[in-house]
Amino acid sequence: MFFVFLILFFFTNKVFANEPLNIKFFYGKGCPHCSQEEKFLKKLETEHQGKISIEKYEIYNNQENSNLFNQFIKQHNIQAAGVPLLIIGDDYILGYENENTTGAKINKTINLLLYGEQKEEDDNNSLYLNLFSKKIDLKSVSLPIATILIAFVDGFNPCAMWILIFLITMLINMKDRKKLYILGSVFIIISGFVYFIFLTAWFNFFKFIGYVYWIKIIIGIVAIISGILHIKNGLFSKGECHVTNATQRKNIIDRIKTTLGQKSFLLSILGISILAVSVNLIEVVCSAGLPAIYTNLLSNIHLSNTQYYSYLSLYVLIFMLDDLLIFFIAIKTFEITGISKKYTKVSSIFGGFIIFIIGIILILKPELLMFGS
Amino acid sequence: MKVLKFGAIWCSGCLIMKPRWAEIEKDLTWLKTQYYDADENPDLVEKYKITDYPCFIFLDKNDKEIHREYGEIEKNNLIQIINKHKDQ
Repeated sequence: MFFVFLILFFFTNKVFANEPLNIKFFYGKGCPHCSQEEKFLKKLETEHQGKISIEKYEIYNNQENSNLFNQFIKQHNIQAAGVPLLIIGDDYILGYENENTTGAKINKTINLLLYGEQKEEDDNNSLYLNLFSKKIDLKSVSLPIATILIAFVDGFNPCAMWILIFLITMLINMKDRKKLYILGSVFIIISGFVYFIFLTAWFNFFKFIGYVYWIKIIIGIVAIISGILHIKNGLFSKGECHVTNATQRKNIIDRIKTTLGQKSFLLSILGISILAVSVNLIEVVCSAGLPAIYTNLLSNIHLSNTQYYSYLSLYVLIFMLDDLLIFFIAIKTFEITGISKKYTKVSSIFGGFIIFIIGIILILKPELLMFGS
Repeated sequence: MKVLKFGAIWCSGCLIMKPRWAEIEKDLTWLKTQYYDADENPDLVEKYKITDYPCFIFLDKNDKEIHREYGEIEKNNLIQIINKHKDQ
């Protein structure tokens, strides 16, 4: 009996020692980051032949797997979970960027569990800035700051501003405060909403296509050019309004005049709403650069949907700040005010510099822009 | 000397320049200025080949253009330009 136990003990021990390391891979069909990680895992399986076993769970179409996924995220207390998610022993790795970043992390975790290799202090992915002899990790320059900066610079885009100035001037000339309050608010709210939809479309586009190298390069180049243009504008522009699309501008002016001339107030509201949607759809083309850069940045960071859309809402709010300021001054003083170039100069130069740096990082070291996710 | 001021009601820079010119005109009562809304005066815009707003065209006694400025300009700079050309 004792020998039986002894044999069983050695046998089971032997089996345990040879048991491959269990890795659970949660993925979704159609998720581009997942398919990239899947390819990488296939390679790993060959490298560590017999030493690791990867169990795959598709969660978009399989309820049972989805339940298991939920069980694991509860068990590991994972906030803002999504796929791909890899569970290795007690560790988990959320998301996948590329072989050099997330791939290296996965490899290290596996090596540690299989061979007990110590994890190296991962300092390579940090970028430090020496400011006033204080070492600042640029990774800790958080997403809210980036959001506020890019949205602020985007907000001073003169393309869309002229319509609001024209509308408010017309409303003030009509000497009707009620119309100014209501029609001005309708125009601003709908403009903000249209911009939110526009940002959401960009964001979901990037989320859908996932990590595509050449898109990252294109966005990087757009950011570098956009950054240089903003710096140039901040340094040399005298605050003049360029005349572009004179015919289109005349059409919009005529439409505003017709809409405000409506006898029925409800028709005016409807007219302004339609106008806000249409002109903002035209004007978004004029400012496609910064929203594309920002949403691309956001799509590479792992957050929950609520967080994603909160950031997009924050962007829209900051983007609309100058419009809101002009509107509130108009309400208070019943006069139209422009925002002087001297206030936009600093934001153009500083924001342009940040956007330029983002462009360089996107091309050379995109993993730095994952804000530690 | 005379100054032609071109602007548009949709242009933020033009709104900034309006009170600055009002102050100058109040201080320099001898100065002749004329404001033109660009949308309502396309023929003049075409004549002076104006591409950006606000645009300020300084004319001599014979209505010949002697100087031109675009964009936001500080009040003191404008006074300097006016003083430089006032006898022309």
